Amino acid sequence: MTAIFYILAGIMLAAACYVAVSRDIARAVFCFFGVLFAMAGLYIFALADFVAVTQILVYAGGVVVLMIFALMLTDKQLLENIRRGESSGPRLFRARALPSILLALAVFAVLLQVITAVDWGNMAWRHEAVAAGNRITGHENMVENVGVNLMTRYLLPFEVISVFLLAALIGAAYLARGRTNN
Amino acid sequence: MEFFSAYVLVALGVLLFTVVYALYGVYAERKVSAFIQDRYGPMETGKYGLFQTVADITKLLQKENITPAAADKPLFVAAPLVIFVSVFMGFAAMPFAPDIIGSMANIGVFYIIAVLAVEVVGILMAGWASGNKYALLGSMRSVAQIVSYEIPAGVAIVSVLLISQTLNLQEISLQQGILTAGTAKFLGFWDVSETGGLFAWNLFRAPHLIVAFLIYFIASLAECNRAPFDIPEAESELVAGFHVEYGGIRFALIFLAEYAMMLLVSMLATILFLGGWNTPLPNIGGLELATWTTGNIWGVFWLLFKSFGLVLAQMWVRWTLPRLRVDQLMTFCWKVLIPLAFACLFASGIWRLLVMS
Repeated sequence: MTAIFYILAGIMLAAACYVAVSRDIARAVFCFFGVLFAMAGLYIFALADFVAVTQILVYAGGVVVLMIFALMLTDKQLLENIRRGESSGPRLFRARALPSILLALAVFAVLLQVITAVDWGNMAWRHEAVAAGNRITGHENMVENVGVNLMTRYLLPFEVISVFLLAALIGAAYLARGRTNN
Repeated sequence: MEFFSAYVLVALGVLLFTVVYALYGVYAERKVSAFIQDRYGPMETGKYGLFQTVADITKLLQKENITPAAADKPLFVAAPLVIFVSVFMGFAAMPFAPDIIGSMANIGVFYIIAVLAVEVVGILMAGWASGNKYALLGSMRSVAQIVSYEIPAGVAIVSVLLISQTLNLQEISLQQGILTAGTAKFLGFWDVSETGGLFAWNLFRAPHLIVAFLIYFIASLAECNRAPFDIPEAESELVAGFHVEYGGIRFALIFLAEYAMMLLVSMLATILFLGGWNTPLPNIGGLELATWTTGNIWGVFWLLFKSFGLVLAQMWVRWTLPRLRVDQLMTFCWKVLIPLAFACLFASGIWRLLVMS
């Protein structure tokens, strides 16, 4: 099991690095799909199977397809020019990439700090939850759990999100409408 | 050893089954088209041309793998694999019989919808990587169509889930026959938990699901890119659509995926609407046909029998109806199927609250 975790994590990191470094936007988008897919696998390790499948459906099936569509509708010559411009000069590091590299390193430092500072085995809330029996063993029906919580405890946020999505949908339809009869 | 049998043998078995099915699916398609057009179809290789597709695949496997100069090589090579693996993954959650199921996941239906969405990425990958305008246009048409028709298909599936109240495909199958733990009621009034047979199928437990079944069947035709929804591969306009640049084993994989996809959507329709592995024969008094024809071997037989029936219907439709225009396609989806699907969903809610409670 641990081996599968490391394989998934390795795929994810490698694909993510390729997305960050690659000069080819199309390949980067497809690698991004690989990142999202491997991440769904990691969700399963966290016993969140529903979230994992939603991740595949929404991000892989929706967001990535949208990104590729946007890519296909742009001028191919434009993409070619960008690639040609980028391919001259140093390949990995260049001066105008410095701010993003610094930012990435800073985030990494913060994460590293958290990882080393926290004593993962002895967190108080974890012991309390285990003692109270408030934990998931992997045999529960998570769909039921999610559904019941959405309809009871988190009903207001759920409804707010649905109204928000409806507004976004109407807005998109308004922006995309034909403008022939002004 | 247990790991080996559980994760390797089952997967290989399903793969072998898919390959053999696809070979004879192609043969059946050619025979059906020949029958409809008053021809003989393949006759030369083997008795009744039975080995025609075996010969075809042998030829395909021997062909040189050509990558076009304009293609994006890694993506071009990976695309057929992504397409095939995404369809193949769907079979993991399929219940073949009361005790034969790859993964008894609580999220079975949702999982299958999600992996089918991955196929879209594979098609886009193939279209983009080919570096060919026909392939690109074909893949864009294909994706626009699949994404649109996922909505009525999804809503039709949800209207079944409202009746069954579970996402677990095995439980959905169990509910529709004599092995049910609850009560199955024919049209909501006649308790058929002991009678079983086709009366306990979801299609007849709630009659509005007949409409949902038709919506799902039409939408699944579109998701498989099959006529009358085959504008992505319209021969007269786009040569062959997204797979125009593929040849040899890569083309064979795409073709295999198409036929496996037909079987997968048919199996899903069978499980959701037509009782899954349950027998269509009811118990009539002392003549206990349902009890005699329920079991693991019978289960596999009935599931495949019903699924192949639906695949045959897909072929029948393909060779009978002409291709739709793209505007007709979208009008039909957004103005006919989606409102109807939502009406079904509404009817399911009413049925659940008033009749089944």
